[in-house]
Parts: sequence; structure tokens; C-alpha cells
Amino acid sequence: MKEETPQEGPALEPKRGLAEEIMAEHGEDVYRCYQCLKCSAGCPMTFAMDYPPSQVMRMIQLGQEEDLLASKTIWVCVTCNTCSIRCPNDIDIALVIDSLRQKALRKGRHPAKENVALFHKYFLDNVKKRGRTFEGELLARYQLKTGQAFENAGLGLRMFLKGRLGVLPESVSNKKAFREIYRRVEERGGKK
Amino acid sequence: MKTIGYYKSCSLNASSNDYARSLEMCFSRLGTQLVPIEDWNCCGASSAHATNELLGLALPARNLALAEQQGLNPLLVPCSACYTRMLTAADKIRKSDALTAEINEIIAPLRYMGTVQVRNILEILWTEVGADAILRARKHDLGGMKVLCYYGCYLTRTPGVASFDNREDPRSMERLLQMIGAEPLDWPYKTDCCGAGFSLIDAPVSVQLCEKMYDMALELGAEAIVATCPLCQTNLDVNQDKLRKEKSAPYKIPVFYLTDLIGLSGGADFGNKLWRKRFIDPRELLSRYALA
Repeated sequence: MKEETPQEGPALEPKRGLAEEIMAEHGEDVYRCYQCLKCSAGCPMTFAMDYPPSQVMRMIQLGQEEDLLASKTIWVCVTCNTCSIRCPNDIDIALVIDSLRQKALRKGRHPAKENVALFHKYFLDNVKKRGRTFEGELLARYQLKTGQAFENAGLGLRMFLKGRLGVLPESVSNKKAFREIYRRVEERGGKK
Repeated sequence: MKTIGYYKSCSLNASSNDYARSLEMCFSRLGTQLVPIEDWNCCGASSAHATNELLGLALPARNLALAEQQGLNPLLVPCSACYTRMLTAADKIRKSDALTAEINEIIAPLRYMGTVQVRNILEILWTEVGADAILRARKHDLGGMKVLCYYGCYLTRTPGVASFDNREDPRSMERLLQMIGAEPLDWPYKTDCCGAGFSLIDAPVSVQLCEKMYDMALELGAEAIVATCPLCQTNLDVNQDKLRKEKSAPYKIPVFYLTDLIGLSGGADFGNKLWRKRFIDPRELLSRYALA
């Protein structure tokens, strides 16, 4: 009698969806979320979000990556960490939202809140130049670009008159060596 | 005189230079000299960790390496936003050999061995300066001034790292202010968010977050709010000014740094130079209590 050999099927690969990626890269297990909604109840920013944090957790479990990367939520979160410290399953939710924002940028997705993305970019450009922020230059550049220069000019002027805006930029002693940090981070794609 | 290392960061160097002055004068009244990290850099604030995880760890790590090299341990980080970034980086690096190696490749030729203890202002006052030093330095009593302690987000909320005080209902600032004769009132917003950097990105968001705090302060009959973070202090101060102008709101509650009041109690003479830098002028209140 001929022996039956088990039929060769497609190899069983472990699923690697969005939740698995976040687990591998940031060590946060989003599958632990059981929708108690504590994060959303305590979040101070839900009024400006399209998906509250608990829904973000569910969407990650379901792999709805593109909807999340296009969401306002990832740009509105201020990382106040209220959700992270209250989560009964110890998920660092704010860090998970950080990871989505970082992913959206890496994949070149259009940010739903352009101004926030622009501010972060200008801020980091500003630091890269000298190792320290030069607030006057940063705010002038950002506000001119976003058309807020007029409404904020009064505040800027008052800060200046109060001696609270540096006139000359300060820098670290070796700017070239400092920029190496940025270069080496970019070399690694910004990921641990 | 005892010395303590500190991270005199971007905001303390420019837009909140009044905080640096208040801190340094207050600590000197308590017999402690603050020594800034030499050649420090920006910690990357929200923008680094928000957009690039590795940069958000490498920028604080450069400061930690410098502090370690310069023997500044423990390290006081007065700005709460810098504090949580430095604490997060120190903690993650300490817990992972792989990350330590990677960060050291990035910040080379500097090298961080993972020894620096990152501390906020309340921890430093309680454990390094010592509450007894505050008691001994007392020259003036705050006469029962009704104050609200505002901790904001980052003094007690760094995920993954044990907090020095209760995360949701900290009391360490109230206890210090009681020692110098103030009357801290209980209120529900002590660890709420002021909007932080959103005051620069999208100002109305920050105004909205602060407005309910002012209403509560008025309802409770508070005379002042006390903060420890330059961003919190500035937002709480400037947003009142905005609401006064835009909505004719009645808010006129001075927002102090904790070191303003401990300094005043210890006899520091801050003078008009300091108070003029604030948007809601505290001098009327201070003169009512014979403190200015």
C-alpha cells in the first residue's frame, strides 16, 4: 500500500500586520486592549480628533493602517501621557500614536494637520543648525509660512520688549560634530 | 556652598529666562549653587519624539553624556518637557544594552555609560536641597496666600518610569508651599494639560484647555497659580491675557514659579526686573502680602 504523504500547502507564515509591527519596533502589545475606553474618557484632545485613542487601538488590531495614517488624531495628540498611565493593560498609547505619526512621515503620507507637521519640521531644522533653538527665527519662519504672522506679531513684540526673545542665536561649540548626530540618525531611518 | 548640576535648556535661556533667574536666586538663598551642563544642546522637545524616535533619544543622550562627563549627578531638569524627554532617554538606555550601543555610535565621540539620575524640581527640593533648608531659610511668611498648585503633564506622567509622587493627585508642591505659609487649595485640574507647544502651533487649542482652569480658580477664590514648567507658566500667563483682550474675560491671576515663592520666603530680592517679564503682573498681589 502506498503511503500517503502529507500534501505540501503554502507555508504558514506568522501574520505581520500593523499591530505586530508596532510590537516588534516599539515593544507595545496593542492586542492587550479590551476597549475599556479609559484612555478616551481622560483624553483632553478628543474634541479635535477624528478617532479617540480607544478606537485607534481597535483600528490597529484590525490593521486599518491607511485610515490611521491619514487621520487627524495622530497630529492632534499632544503626548500628555494621560492615556498611557491610565491604561489598565499597560499599553503606552501615546508612544503607539507617536509610532503612527512617524510611520505616516516615513511613508510620505499627507498629514491631516499640515501645520503641526510643518512646525515639527521647522523646529528640528532649527535645532540641527546650531544644536539649540533660536526661537525668534523659528517662529518667524513658521508664522510667515502659515499666515499667522499678523495675529501673533503683537505677542512676539511684547515678548521682545520683556526681554524674553533672544536677539542673537546661541549654539553648541562644535556645530559640525553636532550635525553628525542627525546624519547618523537619518542613516538608520530614524528607527531603533 | 553645595552644588547641583542642571540642564539650563532652550526656554530657560531665552523666552523663559525669568525662570532661570528665579531658580538660581532661590537656590542660592537655600545654600545651593546650580551648575549648568557645559555645551548642552536642545533635547528635541516634542518635535523629535513625535516624528523620529531615534532622534528623540539621541538628542537627550548627548546631554546625559556631557552631564556624566562633567560629574553632574543627580541632574536637575527644571523644564517639565525636557525632564520627561531626558528621563525617558535615560531609562530606555539604562534598560537596553543594544540601545546603549546604538546611541553611543550616534553620539560618538561622546559616550554615555548610563549613570545620570534625572530629577525634576520637586524631587531636587525634597531630596537634595531638603525641606529643612527651606524651613531654615524662611524670612517672610506668605500669610495664607491662596494658591493652586499646577503640576501639568510631565512632572508625574512619564510612562514606564515610577513617579516620585502620586501620578493623579500629587501633593509634594502643596507641602512645600504650606511650609512657607501659603494656603494651597484643592482643585481638580492640577495634572491637566495646558496645550504645551500647541500654543505656538495652534493657539486656540491651548486657550481652550486653560480657560476652564481660570474659571475654577475664580470660583475657588484662588489668588495665584503656581507652576514649575516654563511652558506651563507661559501658557497659563499669556492665555489669560489673550482672553482678557478677546472676550473681556475677568481673569487676572498671577502665575508664579514655585521658586518665585520659595525665593521670596527666603528673602530673595527679585525686583521689578523679574515681575515685568510676566504678562499678568503679580506686584499688586505681592504688595498686599508685603512681599514686594
